[in-house]
Amino acid sequence: MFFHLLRKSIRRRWSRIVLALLAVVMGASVASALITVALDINEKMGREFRAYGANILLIPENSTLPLEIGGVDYSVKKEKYLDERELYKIKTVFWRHNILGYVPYLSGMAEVGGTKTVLTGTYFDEGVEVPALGRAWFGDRRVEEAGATFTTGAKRVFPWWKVEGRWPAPGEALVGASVAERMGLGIGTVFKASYQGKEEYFATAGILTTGGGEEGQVFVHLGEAQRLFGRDDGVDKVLVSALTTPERGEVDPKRLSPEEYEVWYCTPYISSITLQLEEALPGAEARPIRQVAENEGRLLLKFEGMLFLITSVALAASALGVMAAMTTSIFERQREVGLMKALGADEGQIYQLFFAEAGAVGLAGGAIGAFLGLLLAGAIGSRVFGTPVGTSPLALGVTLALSTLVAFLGCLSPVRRAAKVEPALVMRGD
Amino acid sequence: MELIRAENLSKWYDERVCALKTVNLSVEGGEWISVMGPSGSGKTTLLNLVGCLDTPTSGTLRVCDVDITSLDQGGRARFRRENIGLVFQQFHLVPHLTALENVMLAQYFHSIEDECEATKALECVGLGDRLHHLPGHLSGGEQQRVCIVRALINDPKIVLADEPTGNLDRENEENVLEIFRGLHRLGKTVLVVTHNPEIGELGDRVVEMAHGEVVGCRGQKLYIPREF
Repeated sequence: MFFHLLRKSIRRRWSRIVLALLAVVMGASVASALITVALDINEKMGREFRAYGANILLIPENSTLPLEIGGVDYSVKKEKYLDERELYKIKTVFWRHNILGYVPYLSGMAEVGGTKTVLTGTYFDEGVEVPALGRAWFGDRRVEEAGATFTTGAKRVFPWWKVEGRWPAPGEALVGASVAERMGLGIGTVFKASYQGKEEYFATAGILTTGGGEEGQVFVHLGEAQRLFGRDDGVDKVLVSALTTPERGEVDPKRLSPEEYEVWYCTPYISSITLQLEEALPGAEARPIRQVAENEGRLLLKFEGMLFLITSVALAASALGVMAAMTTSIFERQREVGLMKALGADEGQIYQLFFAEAGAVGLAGGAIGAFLGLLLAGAIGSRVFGTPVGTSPLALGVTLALSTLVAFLGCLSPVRRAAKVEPALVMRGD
Repeated sequence: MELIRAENLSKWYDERVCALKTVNLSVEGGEWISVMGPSGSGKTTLLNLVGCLDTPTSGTLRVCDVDITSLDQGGRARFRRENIGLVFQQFHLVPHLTALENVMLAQYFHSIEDECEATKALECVGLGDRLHHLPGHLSGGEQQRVCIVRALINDPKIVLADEPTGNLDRENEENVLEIFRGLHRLGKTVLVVTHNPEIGELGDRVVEMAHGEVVGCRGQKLYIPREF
């Protein structure tokens, strides 16, 4: 009888139910889209952030953090260097697929055209051979990762570098805009760089504009700088660009329980990736570039907060829509409710009947809304991030639960009023 | 056995409108009481109070040996479905449910639906061929018979009827009254509110009301409070 009553009630008040359903569908589709985007936002935004540079600094252990003013290194440090031949290991850590690029540096104060200038050897767009990795387990699948060439360098990690001319080939240099202006270097100009009696000749391939300290430097291929400075395979710092998840508060891994440590290690936090880099490169010290990491984290949290706010507003509007439709529907059924109570129905049975109706509206509206939300999320992903957003069963479940809750909340007030209807009204015929 | 006992029962609306003042009444099990009086005399209010559809402002009311003035809303609902059968002048059938479903609705709120029992009950009042008709497709007399079957399906101790033949023609009125006579013969306690003196005379007693008070009682028993 209960389901019979429910079915007939829905069929009889179809227009009201459709209004309530539309309200739920609209709220649920916005919620579903934003929840789907929110679940994927860390990865998507992380990739966007990586367009703004590196977030981890690798330096030789026990060397001081370099102090640069106007591109000049004033820090006091021991003569320690990282080995360029070992740098491929950056791409072998647990979160290797989150390492989007790295740029090694070897800097020194060379004499360029008779003036002391910072000359930096680096990768512009270099292919690095990463050997085959051992067997790895992904769930119940055994995967053997083949060796590959990983292309990295300033061109990829610093996409905002503006190069007038072209990126340098071997024997060529990228000259910072202020250096070029000061020394009158133009594209194609050949200049001499000397350091402690050694000399190298470079042709100016491009003029570099970054808006930062790089404009006061001359960039050449890493091997050529190593030759000039007499540091075979030496690198004094590496900037790493890694895809990370914002950390909520600082974590000391030494204080974590084994289970917590495993979760932490297997989450792409900047702190866990820096630890993995240090494990891969003994003798290296990895430091997160705090300002970048914190700003990214703050921005992500703000973005998530905004998504939460929009979702809440959409759901509240949806609940109001349901309330309006259900209030009208229940008002029309006051006599029926009074009659049910006169026949012996208690408040619980009245609540049960109307909440079942609201639940049906919530589930149906939630299912339709979740589907529309996935389409909307796909459109947001494609337009904003350039790639579609992945579907998530979690988003579907949360949307269904939220839309049902919204339908319940929307009809709570009218149902409470209906349940209080005095059955005597029916007898009086009011 | 005394089934209904009202002592100094009163009902006020908004502390200004007095619908019932100081009503004293006693009804024995198996009695047919006709409640008569002009409009606004308090007949329906009295019926509502006995049927637990409303609560009195003051006084005590014991029905089936239960002080129903002390019951909360849930308790009144439970009491109503266990002990009271209601027959309305306007029938008050659920318009989108068939005759059979309307009867089964009362079973559902009481305990559990029994289609077989509901079908038999409707056949007993000559509605065997109208089981699956919506109320809108039934005549007034047929609707009232459905209403009576719905009131009786849970075997209540007391049947309360408010102008049960008010909307019926002579033939249907006779059919409905025949059902009530049958109920009376079976020993059911019946309280019928009516304007019609002919129907009123069918009762064991006629309680006459005016201005919210019992002003007369023809028949054998009018309950007199102990202090009188």
